[in-house]
Amino acid sequence: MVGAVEQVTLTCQRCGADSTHELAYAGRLLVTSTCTECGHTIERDVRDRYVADLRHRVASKPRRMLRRFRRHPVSYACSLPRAVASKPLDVLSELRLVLRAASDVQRKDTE
Amino acid sequence: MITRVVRQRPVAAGVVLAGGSGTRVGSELNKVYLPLAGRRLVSWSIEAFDRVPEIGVLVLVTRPQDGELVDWVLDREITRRNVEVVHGGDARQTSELAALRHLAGRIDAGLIDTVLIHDAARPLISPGLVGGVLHAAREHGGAIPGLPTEDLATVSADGSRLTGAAPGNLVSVQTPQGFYAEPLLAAYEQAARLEFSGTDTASCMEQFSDTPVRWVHGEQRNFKITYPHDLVLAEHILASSDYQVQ
Ligand SMILES: [Zn+2]
Repeated sequence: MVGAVEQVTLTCQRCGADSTHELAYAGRLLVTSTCTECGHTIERDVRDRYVADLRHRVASKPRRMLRRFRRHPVSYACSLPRAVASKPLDVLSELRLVLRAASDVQRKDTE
Repeated sequence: MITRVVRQRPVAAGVVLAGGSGTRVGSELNKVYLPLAGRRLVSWSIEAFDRVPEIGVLVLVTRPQDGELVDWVLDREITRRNVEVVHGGDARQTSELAALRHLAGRIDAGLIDTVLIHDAARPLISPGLVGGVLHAAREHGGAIPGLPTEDLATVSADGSRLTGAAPGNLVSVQTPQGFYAEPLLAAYEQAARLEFSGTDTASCMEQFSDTPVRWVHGEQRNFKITYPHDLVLAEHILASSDYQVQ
């Protein structure tokens, strides 16, 4: 995955504009979307799915690594030390995002 | 000496449009490269076409500035090795024309008989629908998937009031749209000469060809990613099918 935040043009459900939206992802899951025109935000509580997804990503890693290694053995081997080192940090920042969005969703539910 | 010419059976070509005409600012990501359930949006469509054995040629129409992303997706997410990348234009029509010109030699030689054109912003296309459109296009000349719309109403000319239910038999049009390759290429060349710009493949064919077009029942899940919620819905659907092309 490239980066956890993407900026993209989508149509806003609230203001109706084709505007830049900021989308934040944790692994395979979209967690929040914000319209930069009117600030309309969608947040999801994806805690359960994130844990299940993380397990799946870890389990499928050897197969994915093998496929990439077969195609580009040298460049893949060179990228290994960096990829391994950055993973725990990725997971931490994803987890922070997931927990923040979940607590926002819960707060809105109780309001 | 007797030489036997073995004539190859013609194949169909799938064309996936990844032009991203909805992107407003240069620094923004083209939405067809958004992550969706562990892959980029565009790769779900490519995968669906790849599952249909009659699709012998697969073309991906891209913007030159998306080059790195295209390479990344083809390398990491696509099993098929011979996806042909073509640079398209700013508009849908010029992108389609670029793809057809890329295929022109094989169309003229009779190696490609049918072309299916699909919008990459519809990632949940199923191999079944691709096959259905292809079958109908080969039988009738042209085929377009659509869903009957029952809840449409008409409004007055100034848009201020509803004037009643829309007339029956309306369908909302989806992609892929499939046509015989030769008349499709001819229609697009003529449209280019006359600087005609249509909304989709069918509108160009309607204008410049008398190829009969057949409606094929589309699929609810084959919607176009337009709103942020569409991404959430698409993610749910893919998760419920265990992240597999269905
Ligand atoms: Zn908005």
